[in-house]
Amino acid sequence: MGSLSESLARVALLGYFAAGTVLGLALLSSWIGLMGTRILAGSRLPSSPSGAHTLRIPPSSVARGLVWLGFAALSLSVAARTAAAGRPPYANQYEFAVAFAWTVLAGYLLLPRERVVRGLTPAVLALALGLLLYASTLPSAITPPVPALQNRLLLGLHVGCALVAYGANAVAFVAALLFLAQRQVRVRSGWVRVLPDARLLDELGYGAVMVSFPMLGATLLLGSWWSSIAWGSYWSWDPKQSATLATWLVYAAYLHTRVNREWQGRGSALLLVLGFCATLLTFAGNLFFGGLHSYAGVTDA
Amino acid sequence: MTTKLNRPPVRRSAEDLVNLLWRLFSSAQVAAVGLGLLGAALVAGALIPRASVQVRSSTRAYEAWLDERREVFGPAVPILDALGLFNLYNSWWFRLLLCWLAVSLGVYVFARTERRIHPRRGTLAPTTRPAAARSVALSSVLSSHQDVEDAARAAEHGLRSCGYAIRSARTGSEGVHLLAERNRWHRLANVASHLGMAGMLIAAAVGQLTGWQEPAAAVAEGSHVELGHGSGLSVRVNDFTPSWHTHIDAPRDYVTDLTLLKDGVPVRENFLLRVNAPLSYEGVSIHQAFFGPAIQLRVRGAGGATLYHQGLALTQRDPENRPAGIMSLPGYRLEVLAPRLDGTDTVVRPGTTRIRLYRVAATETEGQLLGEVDAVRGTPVAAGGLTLLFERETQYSGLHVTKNPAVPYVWGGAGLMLVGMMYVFALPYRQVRVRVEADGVGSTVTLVAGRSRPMGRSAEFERVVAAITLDLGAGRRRTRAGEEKRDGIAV
Repeated sequence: MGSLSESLARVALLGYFAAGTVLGLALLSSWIGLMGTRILAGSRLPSSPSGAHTLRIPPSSVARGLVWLGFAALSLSVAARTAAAGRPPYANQYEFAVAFAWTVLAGYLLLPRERVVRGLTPAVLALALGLLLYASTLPSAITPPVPALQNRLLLGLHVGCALVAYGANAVAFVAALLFLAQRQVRVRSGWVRVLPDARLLDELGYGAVMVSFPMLGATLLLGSWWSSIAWGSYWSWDPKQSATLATWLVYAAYLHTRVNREWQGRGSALLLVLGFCATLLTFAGNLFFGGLHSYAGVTDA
Repeated sequence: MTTKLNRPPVRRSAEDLVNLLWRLFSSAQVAAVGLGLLGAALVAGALIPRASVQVRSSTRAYEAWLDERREVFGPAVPILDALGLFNLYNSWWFRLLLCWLAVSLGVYVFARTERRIHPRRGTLAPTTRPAAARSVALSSVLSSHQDVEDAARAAEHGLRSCGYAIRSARTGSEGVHLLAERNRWHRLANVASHLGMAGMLIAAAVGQLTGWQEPAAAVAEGSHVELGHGSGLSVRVNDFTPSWHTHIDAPRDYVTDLTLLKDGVPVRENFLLRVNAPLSYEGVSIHQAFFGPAIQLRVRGAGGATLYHQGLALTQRDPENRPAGIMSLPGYRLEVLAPRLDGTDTVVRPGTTRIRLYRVAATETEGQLLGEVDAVRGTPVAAGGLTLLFERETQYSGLHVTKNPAVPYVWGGAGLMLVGMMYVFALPYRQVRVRVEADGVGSTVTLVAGRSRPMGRSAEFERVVAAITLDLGAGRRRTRAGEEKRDGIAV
C-alpha cells in the first residue's frame, strides 16, 4: 500500500514537471504567434472600417494543442496526488497552488472558441506557469491533514469552489488587463491590431465574474459552515476569512459599477485588476496571515 | 453702487432629507463605493494584527503589545492605533460601515419590492418602429408574406420555442405588439439574494446580543466543569485520547469521551467528541478545540479531609515555557508547574511537579507565599498545613462551548443569498419586444432586445431571430450594423 502511494506521488511529480515543460513551450509558441501577428498586422493586414483594433484572430492551433497537452499532464498530476493522499489535493499551499494553475487552464479551455481572443493565451499561460513556479518553491511532500481538515466533503467543496472562483478571477484579470492595454495603446501601434476588441474583452471579464462571484460566495458560506462545525463559530474575523470577504466585496463593487454607464469600461476593468490583487493576497496569505488557516502549511512538517 | 440681493434661505424639508437619504442608500454608485471601502477595511484587518481581549483589558499589557508592533509598523503605530486598526472589527467606523451595508440592502429590497407591487405604467409598452430599431444595439427587421395576424402568431411561436413567455400582447391600429421575457424571476432572485444578505447580517447581530460562548473551557481527564450562563449544564471528561502521526510531529486525531449533565443528571453519556463531530444539546453545542497537559492532584486539609481530588488543567506557561496551572481552595491558592514538554527541563524533573502554596485572605487575589515544594509522583508532601499528593500526569481537553439561537436564521439568509445569486448569474433576464405591422405586401416584424445584457446577448438574440425567421418564412433581416443578410428563403 505504501509503495503504491509512493509510486502515485512520483507520477504526480512527473506530471507536474511535464506540465510545466509543455506549458512553457505553449507560452513560447503563443508569443511567437503573437509577434508574428503583430508584424503582419503592422505591414500587410488591412484595417477594418471601424478601426484596426477590431481584428480578432484565434491563437495558433500549435499553442492550443500544447495547452491541452499541458493541461492533461497537470490533470494526471492532480489525480495521482489525490489517489496518493487519499483526499482532495487541497491540504497545503503547494497543492493549492498546483490546483489553482489547473483551474486557470481549465477556465481558459472551457471558454467558447469565439471568446479565446489573441493575447489571452500567453497571458493565461504566464499566469499558470507563474503559479507552477511558485509551487516549486514550496514543500511538496504529501502530509496527512490535521484533524480540523479531516472532512473530505467540505474540504473538496469549500476549496473546490475557491479554486473555480480564483481561476475565473484570473481570466477576468487577463481580460481587464488587455482591455486597459487596448485603451492605452495608440491606434498607430501594430499591437493594437493584435489586441482583441474592447467590447469583447469587457464581455469576457463580466462573464468570468458571473462564474467567480457566486463561487466565491459559496466558498465563504461553506467555509463558515465548516468553521461552525469544527470550531463552533461560523465567523471569527480570521485573516483569510476577512481577505476572502474583501475579495468578494471588490467583485460586488464591480458588478454595481456595471449598472452605471459612466463607470463601465475603464473603471470596471480597474476593479477587476484590484479584485485579482485581492485574490492573490487571499491565496498567498497563508505565508503571513496565521489564524485558522495557518495549518495550510508552507513549511515542512 | 452695488445692490445686495437678499436671497431667501434654502430650506430643506424633512421630506427632502428623507428623499436624499433614500437616494443615497439606493444608489448603485454609492453601493459600489461603500463596498470598496468595506473591502479595503477588511484587507487592513487581514494584514494588521489584532490585540486580543486579554491584552486590551490591561493598559500596561496593551502598551507593551503596541511596542512589539513598532518592529513592523515603526512610527505608524500611534496612527494605526488612533484609527482603531488594532481593534478594527470593534471600531465605531467599521461598525458604521456594516450598518450602512445592512440599511442599504434593506432599502434596495424595499424599493424593488415596492416597484414589483406597484409597477410603473407604460413600462411594458412595446413601441419600437422599424426605423427606430436600427439605432438599437440589438435589433432585427424581418419581412414576410403572411398577414399581420399570422405573422404575430408565428412570432409568438418562435419566441415560445426559445423559452420565452409572452408577457404582454396588444393589438392596435399600428399592428401587434408583443413583449416576451425569459428567466423573468431574475429580478425576484436578485431581491432574494439581497434580502438573504440583509437577513444574515441582522441575524448575526441578534446572535451576538442573545448568544453566549465559552471559547476555552479546559477540562482535565476525570474532572467536570459547569457550563454556566443559566444553562444548568455541566461536562465531565471521562477520557481523552490523542493519537499522533508516526513520521511527523502532528496529531492525527484527538477524541474526548465526555458525559453531559443537565442539573446533575446525565443526558449524554460517553459521547465521543472530535474536531469535526460536535455535541449539540438544547441549542448548546460543544466542540473539541485544543488539548494539553494536566495532573491528577489530591489535597488534604490539616484534619485529613480531602479538599480537592481531580485533574488540574495546565493551560498556562511560566516564563521558562513550563506548563502551569492555578487552583484555588478556601484560604489557599496553588500554582503548579510541570516539566517542560521538550524534555530539556533540569529544574522541574520528569515525574515531579513544583507546587507553590499561597495563603490568601478573603480580600486578596495574590496572597502570601507559604512555601514551594517539589512533589514526586505518588509521594505525599506536606506544605502550609496541607498534604499534597501528585497522583499522575494526565491531559486536559479544550472545549469550545457556544449557544447562538440566531444561527438557523444566519444559514437561512445565507441559503437565500446563494440560491438567489446562482439564479441571477446562471439564468440572466432576457427581454424581446416585437412589433408586427402590415407593409402592403405582407407584414414587417421588428424585433428589439429589451435590455442590454453583455454576455451572450448577440448569440441569444440571433437564436430568437432565427427561430422567428423559420416560423415566418421570412426573407431578409437587418441586424444592428445595418447589414442585410439573405436567408435563402423566398421573399
